[in-house]
Amino acid sequence: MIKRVVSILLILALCTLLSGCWNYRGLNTMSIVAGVAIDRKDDQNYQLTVEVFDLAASGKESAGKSQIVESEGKTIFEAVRNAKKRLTKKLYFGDIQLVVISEQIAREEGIQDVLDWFMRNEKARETLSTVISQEKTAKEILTASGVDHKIISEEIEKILDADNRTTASTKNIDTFKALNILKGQKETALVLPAVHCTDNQGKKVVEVNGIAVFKADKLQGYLSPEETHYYLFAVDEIKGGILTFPFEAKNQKNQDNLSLEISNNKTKKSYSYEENRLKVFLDIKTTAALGEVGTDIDVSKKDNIEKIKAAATEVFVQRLEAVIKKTQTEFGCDVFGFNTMIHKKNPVLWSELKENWNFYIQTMEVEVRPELVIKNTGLMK
Amino acid sequence: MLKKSSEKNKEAGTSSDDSISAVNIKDSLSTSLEKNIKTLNAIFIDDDTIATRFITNCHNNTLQYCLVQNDGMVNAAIINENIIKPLMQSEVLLNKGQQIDILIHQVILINQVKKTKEWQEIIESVTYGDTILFIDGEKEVLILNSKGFNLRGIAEPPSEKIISGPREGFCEALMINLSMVRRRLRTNELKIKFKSFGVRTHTQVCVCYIDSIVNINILDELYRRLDTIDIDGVLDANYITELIRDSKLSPFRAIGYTERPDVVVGKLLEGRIALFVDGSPVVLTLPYLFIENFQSNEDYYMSFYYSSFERVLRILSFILSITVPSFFIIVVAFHHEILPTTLLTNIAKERLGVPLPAGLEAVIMLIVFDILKETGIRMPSGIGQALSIVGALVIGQAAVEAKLVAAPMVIIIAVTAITGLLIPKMNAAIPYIRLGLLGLSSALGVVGLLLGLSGLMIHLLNLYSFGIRQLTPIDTLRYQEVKDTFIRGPWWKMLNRPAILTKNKTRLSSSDRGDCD
Repeated sequence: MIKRVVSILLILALCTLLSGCWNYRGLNTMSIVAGVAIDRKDDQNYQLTVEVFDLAASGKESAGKSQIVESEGKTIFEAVRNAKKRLTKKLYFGDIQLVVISEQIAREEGIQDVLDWFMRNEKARETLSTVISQEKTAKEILTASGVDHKIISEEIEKILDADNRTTASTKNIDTFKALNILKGQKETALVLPAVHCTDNQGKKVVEVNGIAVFKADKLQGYLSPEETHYYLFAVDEIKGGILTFPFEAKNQKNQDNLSLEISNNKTKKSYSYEENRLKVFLDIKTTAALGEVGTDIDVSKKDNIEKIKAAATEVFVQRLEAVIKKTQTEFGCDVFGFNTMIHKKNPVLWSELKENWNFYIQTMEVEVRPELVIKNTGLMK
Repeated sequence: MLKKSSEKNKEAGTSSDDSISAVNIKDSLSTSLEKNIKTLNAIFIDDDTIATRFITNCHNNTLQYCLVQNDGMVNAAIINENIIKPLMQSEVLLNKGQQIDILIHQVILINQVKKTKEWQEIIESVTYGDTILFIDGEKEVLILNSKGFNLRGIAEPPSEKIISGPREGFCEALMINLSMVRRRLRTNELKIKFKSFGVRTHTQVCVCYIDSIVNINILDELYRRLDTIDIDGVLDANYITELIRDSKLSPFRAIGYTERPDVVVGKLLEGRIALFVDGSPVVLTLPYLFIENFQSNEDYYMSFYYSSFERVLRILSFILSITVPSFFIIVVAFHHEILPTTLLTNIAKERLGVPLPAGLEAVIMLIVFDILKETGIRMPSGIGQALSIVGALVIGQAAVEAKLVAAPMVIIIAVTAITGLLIPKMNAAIPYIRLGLLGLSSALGVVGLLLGLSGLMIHLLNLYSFGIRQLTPIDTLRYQEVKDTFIRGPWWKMLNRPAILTKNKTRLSSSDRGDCD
């Protein structure tokens, strides 16, 4: 009998080791947070703008409406708790999708301190996206209106999610990965999506606008959506998108443009190191289809296809090199992750270069070697 | 001796019923017809259904007889034509005091005739529709089979519906039930043993098995347990079940039941033992394995693809039925983060303004559903519509619109209820497990659910049926036996019987295996 009681107690004790929280928290006692915008209020305080799902909205069309809650605090955590002073319910961060950080904080203080709470808190999911606001404050992003969704955080998150398959104009990264880069791979420069507001039918709406480039955790500058597109080619993150380039300008006033739809892309990085000169090669193999031919050319002829290819390749190299130049001169940091490539291929060399990596990044030569395949012309007789 | 008994008879007329029968039935019969009938009347005093009929042979006045029968239980035509008529008109040379064997062999036209001297046997026979023939001058009486009571016809059992396969179902008469089984098993290896239970009901119980297949140890254990039964009445097979089953407090079945003869034969062929109880259309089969909860006889009559899918569905339903409410509570009250955002906000929106916490709401709704279910069974069939209106409209729609109950909860309860109804053989256990798990999860979250499920598993592993662990063949994996557990393998692959049930394993001779193609 005693044996039995003891074994039951042991089983009970073992069960407590099984994972899980055992605090009962009804759904109607919490406000579900969709996104947070972080601004600097003054020297001491952060200003938090929290977007929560508006559950009280009645009716069928209330599929998604949001409310804005503002609060202040010396730390993010304090600001979150201060918000409770205005709310009957507790903020619930388990479904948070977006953190918007103001340009000021990103440039002056760095993002690591601000994001710390979101990663340390057990509720907030670490796959949330972090974006940098190009407006004056981050709050402006969350208070703008969305086109598809009433909830801005969700709208931005969804735009970012599908971006690299359609427009390939920004680069989304899970926040925990971003922090891994900041803390682990110090030589790689972090990039985060940048968003700004724009006008759509008289309404202020949100639009993703390229990427923000960091050195350590401080903002250095931005790449425009078009520059980002070429940047993505270099880091092998292209999954779609289009390539538009000018072709055979017949009259100077009206330039003809062609668009290629990218179906597949593979980029391989390699390097050579001779006499203290580092040179990096980018072998970019792209498969594309003619998406739009805005000029009068017979694409059924092989010669013409070759011409298109030549023109596209030329423009492509030109633009990509410009982007690389810009990162080297303006930011002076390793946006493309060349350091990991060298580290993996030649650890000995890497330990040599490591000390002066900034110098090498700014002075090295990058050779782009594109290979374009036009798979089909999309022409139907 | 004779005087004594007649004196006792006189006394008996004045004292209470109990003492009469207690005294009289142990005495032997008299040679005097008059005395015997007096004793009989004393035994059946205050019972007006016992009718007596005196007869005298028309060729020999000294030959006197008396017929005793129970009104309403006899076939009058048989008695008139085959008993009274030959007795009255018999021209066979009969002598008073030496005629009983001649009567049996040459006069009475009845298929089953039995001699007896015991009052106890007379009582049991006459109350079962037999006619007793008292013969003047003889110390023995004849029990003549003249049963003619009305029975429910053979119909499809409403509790075990099938789409294809034999539709015959057992009725309340033991012999008819046995005939249905015998018709399917025309072998001398089918053994049928009668026993009688119930001090007052004298219910016939019949143990049935196939001699060459049955596991002798299980049979011995069954007889040992049957011998311990001492009860005043047995009205249904469940009386026997509860008296002889293992783990008497477990809500799970330890003995199988069916109302279908084809199922009984199927179980007998697997080496199980069947137990028929007179007066009940339910036949018990044992030993009972846990997997039998999910089996249906139809599985074997339809394509094995179809039945395997159905069987997996039943097992899935069982798991869903016990865990869905508790899992829902865990999701909405403990681990919100596993829900996709849209679902979370939708559920949160529905829960807004609902007065009760989710756990309590689930308990109330489950109980309401069980009330509805019970009402559906008990109420007179004419008012069924009222129930569906109350159930569907008031408790479903109106309660949600009035914000008394959240809509997702109604869906959860509906899923729970429907999946639970799919496995009627576990209807006793499911509500308890369901509520238990719900309570544990409401208190402890996923820890509680796992705690409950571990407890359930421990309990299941401890269940035995006549010395056989009920989770066999799931806990000990044998390739041959898995073919009839989660899936139903094709017949040409089921070569053996379950090894645990029988030593005579081969079921299909190797030439029939169908390996040739």
